[in-house]
Amino acid sequence: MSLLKTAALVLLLVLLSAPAFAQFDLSGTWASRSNQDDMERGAGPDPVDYLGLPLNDEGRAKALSYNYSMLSLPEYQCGYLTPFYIVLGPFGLRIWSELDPVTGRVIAWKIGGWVDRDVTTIWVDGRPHPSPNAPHTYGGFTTGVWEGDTLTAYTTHMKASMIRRNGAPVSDQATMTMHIMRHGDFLTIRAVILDPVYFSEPYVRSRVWMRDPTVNLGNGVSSPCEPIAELPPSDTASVVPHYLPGKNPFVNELTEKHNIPREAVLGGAETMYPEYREKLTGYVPPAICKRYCGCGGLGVPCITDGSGIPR
Amino acid sequence: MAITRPTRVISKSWLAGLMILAAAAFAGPFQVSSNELDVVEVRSDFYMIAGAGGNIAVQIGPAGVILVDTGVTEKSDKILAAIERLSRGRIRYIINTSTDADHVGGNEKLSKAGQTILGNPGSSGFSDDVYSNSGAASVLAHENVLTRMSALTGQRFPFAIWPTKTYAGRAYPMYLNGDGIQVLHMPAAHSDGDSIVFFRRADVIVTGDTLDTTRFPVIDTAKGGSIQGEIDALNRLVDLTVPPFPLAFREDRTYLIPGHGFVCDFADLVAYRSMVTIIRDRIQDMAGKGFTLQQVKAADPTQGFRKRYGADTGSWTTDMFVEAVYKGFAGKGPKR
Repeated sequence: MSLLKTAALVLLLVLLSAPAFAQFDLSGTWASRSNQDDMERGAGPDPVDYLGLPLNDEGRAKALSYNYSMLSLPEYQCGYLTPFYIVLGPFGLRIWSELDPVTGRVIAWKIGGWVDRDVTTIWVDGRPHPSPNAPHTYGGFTTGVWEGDTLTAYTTHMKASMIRRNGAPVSDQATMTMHIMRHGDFLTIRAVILDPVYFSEPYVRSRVWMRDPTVNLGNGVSSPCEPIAELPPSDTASVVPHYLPGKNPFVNELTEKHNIPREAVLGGAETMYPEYREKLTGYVPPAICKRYCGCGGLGVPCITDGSGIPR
Repeated sequence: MAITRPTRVISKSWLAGLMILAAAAFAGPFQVSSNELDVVEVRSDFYMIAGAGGNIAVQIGPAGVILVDTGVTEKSDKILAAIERLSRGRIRYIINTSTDADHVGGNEKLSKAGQTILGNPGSSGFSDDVYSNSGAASVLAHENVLTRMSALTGQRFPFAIWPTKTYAGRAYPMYLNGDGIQVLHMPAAHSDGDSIVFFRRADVIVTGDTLDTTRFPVIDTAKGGSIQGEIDALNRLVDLTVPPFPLAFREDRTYLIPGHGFVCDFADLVAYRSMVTIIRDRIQDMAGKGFTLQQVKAADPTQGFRKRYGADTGSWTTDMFVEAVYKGFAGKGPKR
């Protein structure tokens, strides 16, 4: 056997003997464990709290223009959040697979929707992403590939939305890479969100769910929604609620409540990192804490009587 | 337009075949060349062609092909080839949404490649030139488009790309390819000759440059455009566009083909409308306080939107947009 044929045979054996990529079964119902980022999971953040978000100046300016009254417009009432909300929202996940009708191979994994999030379909059949001119949807377009034990999914074509439920923006140019890992009865998703418009650095979130066949996650689709006009049309014609630059009335609220410096409240990439605490050496917490003081998922009782003392 | 992966020439060598097999196993997704036109299927028999200037809408049916806008002149051959790959039918009607060269440049070539729907040349007893555009497909636009294109001053357009048919007033209806088509005038928006084209059965609205996901709206004040007209046009589009409510997770919805950029729906349109309205409010507030144009520009009234829609160079800069909006309020006193 010539050297060339030997080399070719070795190559063939390498190709054929490569271990099959582990493809865990992700299907089932995964219950939320809200022991992380309690602020994101519960009633939501304070109006101007961008701490820990890598907002650039443009992102901060857009966020500060946001007025909750915008949600009173019928055209905004039934909007969904984008797939970022998988790792940001409080909900459990229903995951199922879509099979090729002939071969029976998995061609897609579907992460079910919830009240205000659409289904995310992760195509694993090798199809390309659509053209940049194709429509953007609330669910985006996602492809995935198994990398060892991890399903790595890449999402494009999402709509403009919020990265935090106080108007902190994410643009329609953003992309997200999810690393989905199953460890027995635990499911971990680490999401890396890039936004060339509003972020100066990637925004990384991770979250854990626990397998729970008893959890009720509905039918896996989002909730129907009908908008309601809250103001007479003649009063709302051509009106979009927003705050003019420098006029957001909530910009000092977090500072007044928690003594957190305004520059920290306004966020930025620097505020994502633990080292940022060193810049807050003079920080003195308020004598009484009434909101997000540790209550919730960590087993600490919530403050319910206004005393600021967990009970 | 690139749809298929090019076929590789494969050597007879089994070793080469093996190597190709190995390479193919790790190949990434096929990418469409950026030098070619991008054809996006919006509905069955309804397409958007991007990459030839302004977006072009292509509706296909028993009567033939109906186009909204024709791109730039230089891309006419490629546009025609793309249309011929989509349908064997002749181009029967062209509708222009404005006078812009990147929307009307292909009028001559594409109309002559088509065939009038108004009868066979020479058989009707009417003058071919007047009635049937000498056998070519008709080119319809608002009368202000023809007025501006045929004017002796300003931008000059060759006679061959002028509209052959115009409408005045608010709307022009027609029924072709089983679809009710409404051509609606949007006065004083991007210009004074803007039309949107609403295909009622397909549920697709072609917006022209009233909606442009690639930049701030081009408000051509020299051609009668205005910020308030632009906002009015966007709000009218909001009224015409059906959102997917109450079942927002379904595909059912009105689609919009913008003058430039990606295929939109209700939410994208609303986001764009809100962006323009917010910037209008900011500049109106500044103008009401007596700011000069330079002071307004220095205050950056587009902050929060500039990186997404703005440009410091090119044919439509952020400064030009701010100036166009400011013109709508300069000297008009305090806001409200």
